[in-house]
Amino acid sequence: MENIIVRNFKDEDIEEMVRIFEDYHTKFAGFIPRTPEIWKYLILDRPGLSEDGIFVAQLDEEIVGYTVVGFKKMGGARVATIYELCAKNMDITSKLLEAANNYAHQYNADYILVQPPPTHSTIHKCLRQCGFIKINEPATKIMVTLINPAKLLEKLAEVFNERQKKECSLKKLVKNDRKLLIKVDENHITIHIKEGKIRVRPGKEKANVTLEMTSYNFLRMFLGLTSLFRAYLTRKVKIKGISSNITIFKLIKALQPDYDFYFPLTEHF
Amino acid sequence: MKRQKEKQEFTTGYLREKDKKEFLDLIGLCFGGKGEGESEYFRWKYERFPELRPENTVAVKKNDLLVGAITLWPMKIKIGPAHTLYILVAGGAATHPHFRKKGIWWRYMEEASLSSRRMGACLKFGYVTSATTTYRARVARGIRELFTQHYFVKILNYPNFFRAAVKSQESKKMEKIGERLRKIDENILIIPHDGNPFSMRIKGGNIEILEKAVENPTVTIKGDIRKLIYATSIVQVLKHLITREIKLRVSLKKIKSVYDTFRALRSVM
Repeated sequence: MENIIVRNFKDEDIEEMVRIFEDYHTKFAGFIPRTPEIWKYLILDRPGLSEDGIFVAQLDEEIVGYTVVGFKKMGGARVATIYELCAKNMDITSKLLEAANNYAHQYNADYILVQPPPTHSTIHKCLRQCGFIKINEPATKIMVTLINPAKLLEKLAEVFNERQKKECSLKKLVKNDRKLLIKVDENHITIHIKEGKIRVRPGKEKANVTLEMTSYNFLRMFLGLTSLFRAYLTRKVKIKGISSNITIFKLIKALQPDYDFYFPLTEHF
Repeated sequence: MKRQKEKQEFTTGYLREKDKKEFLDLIGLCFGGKGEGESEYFRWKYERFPELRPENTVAVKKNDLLVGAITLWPMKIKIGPAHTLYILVAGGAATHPHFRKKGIWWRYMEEASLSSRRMGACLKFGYVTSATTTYRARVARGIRELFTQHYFVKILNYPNFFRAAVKSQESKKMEKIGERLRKIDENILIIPHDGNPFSMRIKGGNIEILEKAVENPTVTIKGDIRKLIYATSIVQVLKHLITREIKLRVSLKKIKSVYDTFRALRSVM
């Protein structure tokens, strides 16, 4: 803890900032993967954000975290917003929050806002210890409209096909050839399991199992917010031909993203 | 009949290169007033985003005059270890103040969904702040949020925080709650657990914030004031009082007026 130094950002830190961001978000989905160019656009080029507001935590010459603080006027108050806060552990997070707090004081901010990943309990605990309180209102609501369900499933199948090469447990799910038909509102998508791979085709084909749902429930299920089992029990999804294909529950679970979704403030356009 | 005829006069299409200045003027008109450097901010957001082209903006015109627009930011978000998903983030929904309540919002929202399909996106996202007109409009049309991200807040300057709240309370949006405030006549002494005592003088709907403690207050509030600020119901207020996170020196019948006062001031965010 004592060896952690918090200093201001330097131009040569960009590559490390990108690495820290990617490391911190390994277990999350939903954000734009960072390249130096993207990081530069979202942080350094953002009007109202000064390099003075970027704090870098260093432990024995190694960069172990960073935070980005900017100011804006909201309802007449001067608000310090922590746009990004990425650190390896709680000690580093506390040090960075301390730097952000001092910076906000220095520029006479009336309050500080931060939006951490919803499922990251460690950072929530750390924020509470540093005097922050979680508020219910206002919050950012992420509204998602389903544009092309087949394309989304194709992408998820691509991830699955790659995963099952390495994970033996997934191989069992695609051992037997079969077809699954998904009806989302008025769209039909066929999932064809053949030769150990999942293929997705838009359109209706004769299938062993049919799932019927609304686009909202389709999104909830395939973005990992609910399981097929739960959706079935609560009648959000209708299943036909279930008796012969109980592994379908496992298959859908395996298709869901393996990560929690997090949408960093810097990307809220 | 008149409304129907008026609707027919609106045309929907993409933004043209020649309309860009008019578009930025419309953005400034709808989202302006955010202080210094706002035009620079709009240019960064609408002109310098990687791969954002004029065709990404849906424009509604009347007699060649731009009256409404929404922009679709192209993004590739992480969905798997090395997989991204092409999405469009819809934002900056702007309708010229003279042409509001004429169905323009819905017109460009629908067109945005069609455009998203043409542009090959799987999903269309929208980052919306809760308790705003945009959020309510979306909910009223059956668009539901899939994710919610909460803020954590740390108040640095209580009197300024409350002053800003009072300022926003004066806005038209707060008229309804302001009506209730007019009935309150109190001298409130506030002793935050992490700040200096200050006072609020409420009379005839006016709220004055004083940096010092008033003598002979009618209400004294002591403790974690943040919890009172963000209490969204009277039940929550009572819960904080019962658990003694907040101590209130006042008769029970005044709890309602204390709650009303804080509810009115909650709009600062």
